Amino acid sequence: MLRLSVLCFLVFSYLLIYMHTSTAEQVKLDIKEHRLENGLRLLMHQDHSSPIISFQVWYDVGSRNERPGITGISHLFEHMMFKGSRNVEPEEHSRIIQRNGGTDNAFTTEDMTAYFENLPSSQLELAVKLEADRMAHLRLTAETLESERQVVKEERRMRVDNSLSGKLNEGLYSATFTRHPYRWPVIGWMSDIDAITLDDCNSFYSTHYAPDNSTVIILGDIDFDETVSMVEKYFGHIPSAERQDELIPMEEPQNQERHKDLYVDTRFPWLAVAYHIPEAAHDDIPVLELIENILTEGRSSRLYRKIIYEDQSALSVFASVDKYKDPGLFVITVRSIKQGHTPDEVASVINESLEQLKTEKVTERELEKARNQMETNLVFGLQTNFVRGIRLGFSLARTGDPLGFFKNLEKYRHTTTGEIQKVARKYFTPENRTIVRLLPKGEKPETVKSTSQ
Amino acid sequence: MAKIINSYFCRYVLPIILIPFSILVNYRYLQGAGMDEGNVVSMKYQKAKLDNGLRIIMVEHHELPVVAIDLLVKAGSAHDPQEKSGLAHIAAQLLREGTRSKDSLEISEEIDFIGGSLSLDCGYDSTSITTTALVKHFKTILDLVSEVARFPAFQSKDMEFHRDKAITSVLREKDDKASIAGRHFSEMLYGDHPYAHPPIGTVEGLKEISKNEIIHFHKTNYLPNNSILTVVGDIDPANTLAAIKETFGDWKKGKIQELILPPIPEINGYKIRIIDKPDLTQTEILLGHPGITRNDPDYFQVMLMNYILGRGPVSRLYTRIRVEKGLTYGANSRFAMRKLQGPFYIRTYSKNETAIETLRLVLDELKNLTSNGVTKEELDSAKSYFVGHFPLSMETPAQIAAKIIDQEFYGLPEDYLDKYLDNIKAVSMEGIDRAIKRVLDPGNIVITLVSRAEDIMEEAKGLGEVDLKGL
Repeated sequence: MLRLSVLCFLVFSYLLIYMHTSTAEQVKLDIKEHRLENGLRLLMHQDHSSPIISFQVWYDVGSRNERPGITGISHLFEHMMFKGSRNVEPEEHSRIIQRNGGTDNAFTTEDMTAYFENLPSSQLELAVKLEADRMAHLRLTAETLESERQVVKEERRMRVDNSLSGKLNEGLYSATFTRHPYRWPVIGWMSDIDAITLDDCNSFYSTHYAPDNSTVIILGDIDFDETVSMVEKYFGHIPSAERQDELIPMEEPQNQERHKDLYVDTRFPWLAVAYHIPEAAHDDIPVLELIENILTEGRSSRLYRKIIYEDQSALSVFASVDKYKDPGLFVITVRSIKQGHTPDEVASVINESLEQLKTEKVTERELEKARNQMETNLVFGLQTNFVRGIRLGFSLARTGDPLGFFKNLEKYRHTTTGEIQKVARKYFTPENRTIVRLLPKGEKPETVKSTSQ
Repeated sequence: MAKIINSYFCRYVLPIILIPFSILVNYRYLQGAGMDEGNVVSMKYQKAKLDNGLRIIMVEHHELPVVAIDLLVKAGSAHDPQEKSGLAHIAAQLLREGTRSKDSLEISEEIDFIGGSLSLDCGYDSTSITTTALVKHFKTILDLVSEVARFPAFQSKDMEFHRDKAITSVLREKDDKASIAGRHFSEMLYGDHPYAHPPIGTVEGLKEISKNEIIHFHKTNYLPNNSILTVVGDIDPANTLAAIKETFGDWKKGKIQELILPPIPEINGYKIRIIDKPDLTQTEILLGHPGITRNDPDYFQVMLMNYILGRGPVSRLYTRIRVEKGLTYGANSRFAMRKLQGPFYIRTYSKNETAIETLRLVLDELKNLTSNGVTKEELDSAKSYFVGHFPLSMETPAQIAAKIIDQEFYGLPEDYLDKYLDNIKAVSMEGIDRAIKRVLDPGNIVITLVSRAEDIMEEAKGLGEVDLKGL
């Protein structure tokens, strides 16, 4: 495996990867790397097919780096990045970008925070200038913090407090994690959003928003040399920051099944069945992704067929594999369980299906189907500069290797039905399981037994 | 991507619209006329028509070995018979549940095995069968599209399954305040017109649909001379056209019945409805009135005006309600353009305590725009956004195809894409003023509020008479 860190003594490190699809077709993805003296890492990908670029800055900070009391600061701070810097008025950033034909936005996750501008390629310098200005000279004021705090609280009300999927997700992670920061939501607890101070923001900014904690990814119609000089010109002078090693508490292995019920306004219960799995860089992750496909990808998948078509017990079922920097979850979610059916009945169908993976090997055809699905999804995901950058950035942030997602294709191809069985046995155990249900309010028992952890 | 959305917290909701992938042979290269030198978008597409009337669009794009096929049938939920709301949607869903030669599982297994996708989307005016795969599977998916579009089996058990699924889907809309608002808003806006319900239909309508009506609907609407077939991706047009002829050449044309719809009712004054959902701490606000048709002559004026009013992070609504007041996370306006007048609407939300204050600000912005128009600076910024953004809006073959399908489906001029940028640049202050005066009507609007009614009722009454509804 190519490790970028080994190669960075070169002016350019050139990484090229070809993907051989099962026929003669090839898909390639090449990136060049350059590192500034202040530690800023630059990844570039050329594509001259259209006069456009995607410019992205990835900061290696997310809700994982927070502590109780100021949960949600990564995300609130991301909003503050639009509130003006030395040469840019509040909210002016997006105005300038749009006036030049671009769009911009940002997002925060558990593991990282990213900012991007998608622009005509003639406007590359504009994006470089604007992003450098707010990395180096953000203006943080009590006034803008106050108004943005209100905006974020509305965002929380929209996404979590008044949303079934938000409630289920928050309930699930707070039940499965007891020590690790993944136990709180990226948007933070409402009381913490209220409590974050300007000082907290200032110290968060000086600690995490530094060139040696970030990666710039530029894709599209660019010239490598020009791009490097431009990035050097605007980012080169920004000093790196002193950061102490963070101690992130790791989760102890779960040794007993956990349950949590949330009572909500609905006629149709929801269900999540979750198992702890390792971090994104672990070799078992690609195998779990194949399992995810076999269970719920497409209408011929095992659980879709059984729950949606045969039992007709719910409106949707899907599985997901967290690919996080630290160990995350494998989750099967069932939405809107129909009248005449119960979450327990659906949970036991899921359990039977997982037990079957442990006792019988999947067929070669099912495995081949899952591989084909992974491969096609990957190719379709390379259609735009923006999404290519997003894939590289996530892969880098979570596994340390920007091309890791591409290299996984080899792993999918070499995984055997025996390994699938082995991985299923390893993780799908009762003591590693957590079941969270959203139940109709009317069914709430008079005296609620504390079933949650 | 949908699966990881949960952990994304974007700065603002980015309206990423997932456009369905959508011979007279003449090659066309589109150039961004008048743009900076070098800022040229090239796209290769061809149109053709088979003898049976099937229109064909082919877009070549060789960056990746992928292909997408989209068969658009010009019949959607607007074609539902009276009292049978949801029929077109169920008919579409049933296409993949079995054909003369394949059962439901075989169809799913075939598309899943090659890693492809097959989806059936019923809209108001049309239905799309969309399928994607690596290009080496082109023939497989082309045959599959033909098979499901032309030879569905329509079995009773599958029909009952989809009827039940659709009814549950309609009922569970009550779990989601945005869906509740959308359904009530359309009902209040459109009365007896079929745009009054989302394509999935109503519980009452779904219960009434019979198998024979579905068979009849399919027979009279799924016709080659009522359809547009689009193929985009890593293709060779000559071979593609030959394959299409072979697969669809024997599809028999038929007589297309003209669709006659009731008029869209007029709105007088404020029509306010509060839908009571007692668990809500945040009020969903949806308001608007009938907008314009897709082929409206003022399309470009309206597009620029709407950008200034409520699209994206530089718009007036965003600035006033979010940036200056911190009352919401999102405030957007949109013209949903259809064959007939789709709605013009504004959507926002705020905690119950400030919901009516927020609503009043929206109404003020709307009145202000109608009375005072836009500034020259706003118009120039809007134009430079759309002109500069053009190559970004044409990055993928699907984006290119969507624009060509629009041109074909809505009967826009043949040179629509060639003149696209010129049309934007040509919008004048007078033109946009005229469009605002003609299109916006802030005194006559429908207002839908989904909330804990007791929190907002008294204040809402200050705006006018309020109709209170339960879930």
